[in-house]
Amino acid sequence: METLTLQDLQFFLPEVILITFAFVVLFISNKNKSSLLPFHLAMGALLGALIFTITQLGSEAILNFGTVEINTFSLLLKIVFIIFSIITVWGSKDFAISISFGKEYYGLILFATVGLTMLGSAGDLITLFIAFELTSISTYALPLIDRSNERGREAALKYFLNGAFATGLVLFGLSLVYGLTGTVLLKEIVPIIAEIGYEPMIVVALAFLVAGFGYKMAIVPFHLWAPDVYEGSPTPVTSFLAGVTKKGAFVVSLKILLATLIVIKIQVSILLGTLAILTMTVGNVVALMQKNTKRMLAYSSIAHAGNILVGLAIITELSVAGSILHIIAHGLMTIGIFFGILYVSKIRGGYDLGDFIGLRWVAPWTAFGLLIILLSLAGVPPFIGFWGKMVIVVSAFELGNWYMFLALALVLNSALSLVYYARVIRVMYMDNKGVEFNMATKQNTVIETREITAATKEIGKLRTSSYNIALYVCVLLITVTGLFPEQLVAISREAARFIIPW
Amino acid sequence: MSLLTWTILIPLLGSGAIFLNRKRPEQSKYIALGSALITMLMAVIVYFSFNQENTQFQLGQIINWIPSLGISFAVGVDGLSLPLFILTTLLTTLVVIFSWDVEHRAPLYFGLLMILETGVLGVFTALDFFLFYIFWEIVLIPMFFIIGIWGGPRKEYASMKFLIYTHVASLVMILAIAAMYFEGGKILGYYTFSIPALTGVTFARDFQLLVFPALFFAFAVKLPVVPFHTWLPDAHVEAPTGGSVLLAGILLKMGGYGLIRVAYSIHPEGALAYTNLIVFLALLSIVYGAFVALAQDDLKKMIAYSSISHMGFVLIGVASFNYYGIKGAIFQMVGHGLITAILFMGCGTIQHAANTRNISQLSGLYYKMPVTMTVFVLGFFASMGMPGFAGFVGEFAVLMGVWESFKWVALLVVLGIVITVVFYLWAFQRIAFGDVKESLKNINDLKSFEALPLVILVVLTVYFGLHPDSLLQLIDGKVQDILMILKI
Repeated sequence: METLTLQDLQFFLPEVILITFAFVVLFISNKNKSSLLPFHLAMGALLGALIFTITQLGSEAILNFGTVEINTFSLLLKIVFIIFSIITVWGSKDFAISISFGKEYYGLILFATVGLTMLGSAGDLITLFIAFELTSISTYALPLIDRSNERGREAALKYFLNGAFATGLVLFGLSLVYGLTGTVLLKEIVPIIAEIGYEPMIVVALAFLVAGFGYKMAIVPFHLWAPDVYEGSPTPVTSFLAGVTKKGAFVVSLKILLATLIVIKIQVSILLGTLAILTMTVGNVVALMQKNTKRMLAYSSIAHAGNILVGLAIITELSVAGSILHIIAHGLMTIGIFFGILYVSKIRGGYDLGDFIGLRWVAPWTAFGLLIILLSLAGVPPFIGFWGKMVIVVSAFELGNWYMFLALALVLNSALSLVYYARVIRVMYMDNKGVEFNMATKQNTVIETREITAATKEIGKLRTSSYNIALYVCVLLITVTGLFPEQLVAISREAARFIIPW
Repeated sequence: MSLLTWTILIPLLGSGAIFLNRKRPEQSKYIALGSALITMLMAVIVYFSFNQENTQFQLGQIINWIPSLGISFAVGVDGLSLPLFILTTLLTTLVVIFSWDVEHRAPLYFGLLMILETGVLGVFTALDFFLFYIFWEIVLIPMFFIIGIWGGPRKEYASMKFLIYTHVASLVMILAIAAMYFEGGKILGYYTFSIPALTGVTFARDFQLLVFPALFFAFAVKLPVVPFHTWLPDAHVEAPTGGSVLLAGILLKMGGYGLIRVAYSIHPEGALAYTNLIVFLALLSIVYGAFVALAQDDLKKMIAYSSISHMGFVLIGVASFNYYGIKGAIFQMVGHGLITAILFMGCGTIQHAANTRNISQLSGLYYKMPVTMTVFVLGFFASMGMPGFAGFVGEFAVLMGVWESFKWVALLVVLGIVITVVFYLWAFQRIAFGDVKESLKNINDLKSFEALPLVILVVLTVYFGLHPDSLLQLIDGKVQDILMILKI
């Protein structure tokens, strides 16, 4: 390993662009609230970073004494996170104009994106930790970015306190790993731990790491902050937190857990598998009871974290590829659907199930987009959400024995989730009367509905709202990658090969 | 793109045209009829280009789709799938004609019918397990909407129940598919989801004992077999007539097709190990279905339960696992598809005219609707297995198969047929004869667009009843092929 040459600096270009523009966005004048300059700068920075990252695809390098690794895994995740941020920024255009901290909003998102892009390529614990913290700290302020949103305060505080606590746990776990191995480089940790063999301290370190990342990934029983934060935050922020930054936590867990768990693979599998089953079941069962779609989606996002965790628990090349695929799929679906329901709340006044009644007539294309994403979330083919789940399910059978129960739990939960997704679909497309059949009492009950007034019809015609654009972009990507998943599956498998240490 | 691929895709293109043309909803039924007719015409061409001597998959096409997982877009037909393939195109066309007066959200209705046709055609031709699964799932969504939007008073409940119940079953199927993928890959040396390749693999007995129940459950829900049948009466009663016809006529056949194509062909040893249980469930379906049908006041619910009973014949025919049993089961699937379409369409006609389907509120209909009642009684005769109709051939062949394998169990099957005769004749007596009720004084007979599909179906039922060889020859080679798997 050598010091950096000028040639190697090109690999940092995306991050440099993002950081530079993040500062530029923060320093421009604040006088004109409705100025689109911050938006254009943020989009330009992200697009530039995306182009440079794509040109690097296929190259492989280890830079700066092993602290930065460029390979298919890191480049894939860079591209994915930048695309997620682009969609979020694009969709937030109307939102940022309406709040007083518009340019700060873009600035924070850019900083968070820098952290996310570094996650995949970080080669040692310190870089990884700093990248992760950059993401977390940038997003702590986001729930409160819209000061007219009363509930944002509670959300921001909860998010910050839980996040800070989780950071402490992670740091403690990492310091134990360092103490055991005497190195921070991931590539060196793996052989050293394999050489040390089983050591009680590894279990302790693992417990801290799982708990810490468990908070960040919002897996049961560390999930209690998530529904409140997701519901209380402004919806574009929710979409960024649930769809983008939470995925960062999965990437870090993929890297660190796989490195440390080599000697206690079976125990880790059982631990993660149990947590995954718990997470899926709790998430889905609670989501089933929600009448508010935003809170329902918050719980559904918890359930999907459980799906991704199943792939982590199986730990084969295929299952990790499945996890990566589902991380990408769920990110797209989450961003799309939160912007979709945001649009609905703008034209109907709220997020309750009753606000979705007869949406097909008020905003047909939004309803259609939501329909596709809901089906994809439920794992109905041929959308990308189906492939993510299915690759994980299929991979469980490679090893057989108890992993098959994990797969069974996943598919049964998937069926359960269809109940509440289909409820939204039914309300949008079938329910023009506002009547719901109650399973328990076997009777029709009228649920609260808001009349389709002339005014809301008028707003319904504003189809070019940026919220809708984000929805359509996500729907397009979900459908295209769902119909032709070959590229994505192949690159996910290749990426998985880079992070599986054996 | 081969002929077969186009046949599958044309309904989908038709639905696309319908959705793009939403501004003129009155044209949607013409587009639907056009694409359904073209599809049927192409299915006929497929039939004539099909070589009956050859028991392999024919007219196929393989396109690499997801090579990194071993998934390809592979289609093809053989003697098992071709009759169901043609039946699907026929019934969809007739349903489009029968639904000519649907005006409530017509573009969506006809568009969904076309998507449904693509899904079912795909299921019957797919030669790759993932493709099979995807088409299998695509079928659910249009049917969910058809029941949920154009259905009866409890449509929300029925559509949800249908969706969730059948979705759980298909998810269990994916587990079995995943298990076969890895186990088959170890034996073959390469990982593939190809159905012909995995059919050629002889799996270990223990593995078959584990996987067969999962596959059986997946297909038994669709068929449906008692006790997995509870979604069917709700779905049928609430679905609009067109939906019921397709549900009973072709969607149930997907279960029987999967049972023969996947469960029995790939895991014969596993299947034979569970024969007693399967025969028990089949008898339960036949007898229980018939008895429950006897107790129904709703004409449509009665027909729905009779479907459960008749699908029990398919299951017991397959379970007897001999030449006559399997052949009878396949014939029964086609025959039931035609006959049940007559019954549901007749039922829909009565409901249109009289505004009720309750047997207790109908009487003397023969004097008010002579044509409908004539067709209806012919449908009843065909369904109860009267010689001369398609229903007889299937049931008789199944009985022969059952006798050959299980001897006196056949008596219980006959019991089912006897009860079927009772409830059909009793129901017909109550609705057709007697005094015309006050509320039924002003009703008219069926309309021309309702008569055309009914007449075509009756003619075909009689044709296959008198000349069953035309169909039996087609499936003959494949049946012997299936039996060879076990005999070797």
